[in-house]
Amino acid sequence: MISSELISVGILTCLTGTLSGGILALFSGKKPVQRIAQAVIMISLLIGAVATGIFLMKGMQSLVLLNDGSFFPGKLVIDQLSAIFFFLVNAVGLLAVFYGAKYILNENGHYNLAYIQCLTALFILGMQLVVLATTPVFFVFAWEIMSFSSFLLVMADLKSESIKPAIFYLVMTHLGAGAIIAAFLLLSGGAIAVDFSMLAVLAAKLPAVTIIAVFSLFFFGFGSKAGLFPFHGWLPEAHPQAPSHISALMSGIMLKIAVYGMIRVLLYILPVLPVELGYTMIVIGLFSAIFGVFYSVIETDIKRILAFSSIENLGLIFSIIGIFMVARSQQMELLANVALVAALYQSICHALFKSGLFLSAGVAGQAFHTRNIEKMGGMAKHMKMFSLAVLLLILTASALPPSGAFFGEWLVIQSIINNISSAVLPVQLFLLATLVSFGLVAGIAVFSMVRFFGIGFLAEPRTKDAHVEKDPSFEMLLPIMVLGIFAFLIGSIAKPLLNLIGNDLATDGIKLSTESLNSFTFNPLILLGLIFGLFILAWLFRKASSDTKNEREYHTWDCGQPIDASMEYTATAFSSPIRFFFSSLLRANKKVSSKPIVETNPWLVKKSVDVEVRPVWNEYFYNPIVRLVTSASSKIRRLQNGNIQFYITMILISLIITAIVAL
Amino acid sequence: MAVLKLLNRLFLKSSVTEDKSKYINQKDQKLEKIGKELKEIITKLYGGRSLRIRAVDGGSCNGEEIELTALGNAYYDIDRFGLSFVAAPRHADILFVTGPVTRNLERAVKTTYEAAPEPCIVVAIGDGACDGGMWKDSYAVVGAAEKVIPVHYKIYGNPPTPTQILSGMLNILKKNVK
Repeated sequence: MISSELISVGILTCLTGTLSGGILALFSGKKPVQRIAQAVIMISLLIGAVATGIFLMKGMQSLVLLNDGSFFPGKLVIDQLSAIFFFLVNAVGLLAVFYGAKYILNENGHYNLAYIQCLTALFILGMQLVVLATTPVFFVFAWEIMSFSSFLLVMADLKSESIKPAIFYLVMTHLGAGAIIAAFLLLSGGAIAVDFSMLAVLAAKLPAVTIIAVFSLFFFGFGSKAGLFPFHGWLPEAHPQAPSHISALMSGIMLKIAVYGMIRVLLYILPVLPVELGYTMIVIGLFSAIFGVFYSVIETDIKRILAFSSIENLGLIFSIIGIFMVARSQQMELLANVALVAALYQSICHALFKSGLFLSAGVAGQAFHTRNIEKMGGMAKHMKMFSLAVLLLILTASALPPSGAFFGEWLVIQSIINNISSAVLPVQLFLLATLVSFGLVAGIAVFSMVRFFGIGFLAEPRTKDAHVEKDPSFEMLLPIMVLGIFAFLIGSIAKPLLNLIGNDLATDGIKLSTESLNSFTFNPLILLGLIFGLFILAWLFRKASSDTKNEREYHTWDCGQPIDASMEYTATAFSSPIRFFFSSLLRANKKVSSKPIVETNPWLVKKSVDVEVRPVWNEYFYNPIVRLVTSASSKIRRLQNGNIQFYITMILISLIITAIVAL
Repeated sequence: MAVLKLLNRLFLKSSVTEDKSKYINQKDQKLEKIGKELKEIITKLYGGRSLRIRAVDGGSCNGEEIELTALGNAYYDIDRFGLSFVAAPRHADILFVTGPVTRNLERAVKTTYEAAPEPCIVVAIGDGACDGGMWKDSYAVVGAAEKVIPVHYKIYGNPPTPTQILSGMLNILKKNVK
């Protein structure tokens, strides 16, 4: 068929174009060259997105792109699951690259544009190759391109405050990559160039203990990349330090690549796993969601708020995958199908709204020259289009109807309620726990997002040094607008989209009955229409009922005292109820210090409040490990005594031991 | 024991308040007359609802405020004539300005006037607000209220008594009845 050839040509053009655009960017730092490089990358990403879009819409079977073992070890194959993620990488990557050049130029020389563009292209290429890879060696190779280029991007401004998180990220991501390599080696028994389908055959023969070990390694590998508790420590450190469009790519897409890896391994490689592993996944997912959402309420750095919110969202997605595993092992076909489709749908929604929010955090950061939300405010008044786009993103991030993210959660909750009576007792308990935690997390997520928009965008600017007079330039506004509109309106096509995902996966050879999605008895279009209808009705009613001709506008009644920023609600005060209720969990430390204005008068004092949040995981998890490693390495260092005879003895001993082991 | 004492005090002892007639032998006929007329006019003008007043202090010596407060006490009780003080200019039909407008309160007077819905009658109460009074031409004051906002009527007096204020109101409203 001609169109399948065209699609494969399109995707290969996309890959080579992205690479060549990245290399082109290195040639010269001059503006025209950078523009051309940007255009090349964008056009290739567009070609890739269109080709994958056609592939998805047609519901094709898997397509072998490259069968030549000489250049790549193993085949490059696109199937329906990878197409979903490939499309996401291209679409969001396109917008991020479009936004990136202008953003970097606005940063006034903190970054080197050529370096950033090249690494961004490599980063996107790495993610594209991960989803296309079919052999462990190539998968890990692409995974490393993705990890290493993003590591370099995190420390792109070469400041000491970004180098430390970058190295933390490097360590964590390589621990994860090491776990993934180990898991693949355990499965294949040492061979690294075998196909995934071959691995599945091998996996079916392995004993249960090995399978559990393999799953645990995979779960650690992908889970640490996705920022699951307690391996998430790097995420809120590294994501905010990168330039904003890179944070958008990391949070929006790279975390989804971890979801992709997990689903790929669960569906196509490992056999049906014991139910306890599903429980583990649910529990860890829910823990991440709850911790993530709490910290996103407390944080005052806007990018860290978003990073913690990503941990929350990824926690929810992984707990949905956990439900899928539990349901599959219990032969609850209906629930398993719905959970799988919902996890994919949530991933798409999260990719759209979170990358949009990170891009807008970049705009806000440039308007205020800080990332501290306590200094922001007032953007809604003059940056109207920008604020509207962010509002759409915020509505989606709060998972309010009729935005996109609402329907994924709704679908899961509805199908849990429908299926809970037919489950056995322990499964029922876990499903119930999920239901309750979903409610808690969804509620606090709304709180966190209201805080983000209310403190960050409404009212008056809290600093004098704010540039909020007009909307950001077209290049920075358009991607945010596009992401906002899509993230919001994806809810209105939720049903056909869910059916499309379901049908696509069904053509992939997974047993999936698409009727399961008909349990989704809720028509988003009607809801959307209802809400807009009510808006219009209220507007018409106001027009008709009030004397608008004699209306006169005047500012808020202020009792004669001018309203200024010092009267505004602060972000720390706003999160106070959450800190209070969950104080034992969050270990927030509030210090109130008072200083007399005049030394001799103890009654007139200036009071200041300092809220310090000590992350529990640093205290009980990371710090002990760091101490252990440091003390162990300082002990090992004694071997390095500089005595040449000692070294020769060591070599001799190791040779003897090797010989004994080998023989 | 304290409870018993309290009950004793409440129910068995005589009342501590004294009879009104002991001190006020006859009603103030002038006040009653003005009040009656005011009520008729307000009913006619506002279709049964009361006339809502917002008083703004432009930096007065507080004499006018004391008299305006007296309008609400049990003796004058202007609510029965259909007049009431409100807490925000958004609800006001009529604006009372008192005192020579000081520089610090100029903005307050201006925003109060702007925040009141139109049409709004502005009345300067007391000599200070009418022409500056004893603070006229001082460096600390802007001057009479009309230097800051348009003033429609003036009620002179330093300060005017409650009855004078009410009769001034009557005159103002009479001019508006056709």
